Amino acid sequence: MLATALIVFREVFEVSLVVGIVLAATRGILGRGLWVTAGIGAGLAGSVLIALSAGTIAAAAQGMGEELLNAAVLGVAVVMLGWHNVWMSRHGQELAREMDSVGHAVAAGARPPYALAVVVGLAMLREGSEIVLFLWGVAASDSSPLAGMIAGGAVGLAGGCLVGLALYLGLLRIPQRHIFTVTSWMIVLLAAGMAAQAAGFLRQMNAVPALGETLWDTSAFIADRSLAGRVLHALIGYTARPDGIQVLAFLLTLAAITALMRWLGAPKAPPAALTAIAVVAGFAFLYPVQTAEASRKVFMPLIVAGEAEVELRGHEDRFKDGPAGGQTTVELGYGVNDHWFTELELEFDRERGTGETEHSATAWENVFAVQQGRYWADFGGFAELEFGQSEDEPNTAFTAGPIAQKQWGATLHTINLFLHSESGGPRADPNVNLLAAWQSRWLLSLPFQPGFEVYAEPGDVTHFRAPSEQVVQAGPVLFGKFILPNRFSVRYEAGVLFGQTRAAPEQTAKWMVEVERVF
Amino acid sequence: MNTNPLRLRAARLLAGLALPAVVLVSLSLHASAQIADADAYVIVIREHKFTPDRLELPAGKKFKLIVRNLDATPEEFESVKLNREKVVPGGGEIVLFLGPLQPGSYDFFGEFHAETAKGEIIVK
Repeated sequence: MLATALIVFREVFEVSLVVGIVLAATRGILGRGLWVTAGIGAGLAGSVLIALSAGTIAAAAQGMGEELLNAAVLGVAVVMLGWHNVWMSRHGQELAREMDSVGHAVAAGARPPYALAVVVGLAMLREGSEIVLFLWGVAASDSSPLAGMIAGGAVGLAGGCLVGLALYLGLLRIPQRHIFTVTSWMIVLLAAGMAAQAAGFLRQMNAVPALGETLWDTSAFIADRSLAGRVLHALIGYTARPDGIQVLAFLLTLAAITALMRWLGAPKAPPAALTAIAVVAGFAFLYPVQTAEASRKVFMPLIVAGEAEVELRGHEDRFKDGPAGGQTTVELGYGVNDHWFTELELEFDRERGTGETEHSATAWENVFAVQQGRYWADFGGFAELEFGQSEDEPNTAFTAGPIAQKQWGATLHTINLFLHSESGGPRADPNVNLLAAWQSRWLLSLPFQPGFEVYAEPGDVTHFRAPSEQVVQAGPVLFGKFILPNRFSVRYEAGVLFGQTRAAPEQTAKWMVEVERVF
Repeated sequence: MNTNPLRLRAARLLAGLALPAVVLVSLSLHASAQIADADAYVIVIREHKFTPDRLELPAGKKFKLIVRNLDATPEEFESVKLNREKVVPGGGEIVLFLGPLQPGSYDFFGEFHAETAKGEIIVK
């Protein structure tokens, strides 16, 4: 029971520290409790999911799947925290004035709580998955009676929450005019600490060099396992024996966020989230991309006339037997009018096995839409002409079909039913194949819309393949959009699709970043 | 029975395309009748603010929202909960077809001036 209590306390304590700082930083912003709770709930659900797929994750990335996941989760948290701070430094003074007036909703106060809900969710995700895994392991090893475990867990949970509460109340004693400065600094240090932790995981994967192992050893003063050590670890990423790369990551993050806060703190500043875009895009090119089937994108019958966009997306397929594969796509698109959107696309495939990247196809894509809201559902169409650029690809391919979308309450559902045919070249498929896709998403908020997608390729439209030969994948996907100044905005998608049939990849990770502007 | 595979495929493709076409035509005929009778509400954009910034509407009915921009610069009317994103040119107006909506609060904003252009539609 004691072991359970201590482990649960430690993990809950780390989460509650993050939650405490986040709550203190957003005090006065209406509804922020809801966002933080949503973040905790999402993180908890995600951590159970992760715990359930722990075996797959650990085996992925040559046995370093867990380290990669930890590094990625921390990396996203760093970006989110940095974004929050930059935003607050721009609007902090307005908010301080408005927070004094009772019952007055904070101007555009909706933005920081969303980003921070993501941070809280990510913190919960990391710690929560460790709690679930640990408790599972203890239960499986029969070394502890269930009643004792539950009691220990409850004690740990209560203890962790109490500490978080103490921090929150302690932070709230600070006078209002200083609170933004203090919490901003705590958040910068939190982000820098997370960056150092992420660097540590990347170092374990040999993805980055150590730059000097164990630069110093302060275990004699504050040991990692001591209470002081754990508090410092949660707040600033303290570690008694840091590698050079961790120190570097810490200092760089500290410098970068502070510089961005100063530089972009003025009202008429260039978009801050371009940093986030660069980070995501940077990660994209770290991922090996290999040959894959049709693009993992669900098209919407929604067009904004006069909007131009640059889209970067990709997916990576992992197979149970054989090397991974994937694809990266760059697109340039424009909404000609309310009913027609047109796009030029360059596809790059990376070979399964050799890992070589090649420009596989150039395509011209079109989306058509009827007037939104006129009918029971929104209807549209898709038509794409692809020109193969490598020997493996067919000379030309044509894909077309209807799109339909329906909103029910706070959820949005979209279906694509496309027919795909190829011709020319040694590997052209003579069949007319059906490509079906489905997306459901919850219209929770602009930057945060969770949902799921299902992709199915049953084969020739007149003669489907046997079920196990069909490619069917499904999984959770997160969608969102951030508004930037000067009529720019950024959209993103990120998700994991799990293969449902033998012919499908075991897992496909998909991501997308898009910058749009209305002209 | 004609077992020519090519004709069979063509027949199936044609049937596959004809069915949605029939559905679309009948839907549009039905919808046009509904839209013609639908209530219309007007929201005006002035100095980057919506007026009114709060509309109370009945649930379960289709309606039209006319957004009129009295400013010289364009605004983009956007709402996650209404699933709409449309540019209103300076001095121009747009018509949005919305509903039927379930009871609740649907907030919207002007993407180009998000700090001041905000509003909500309360559906009861």
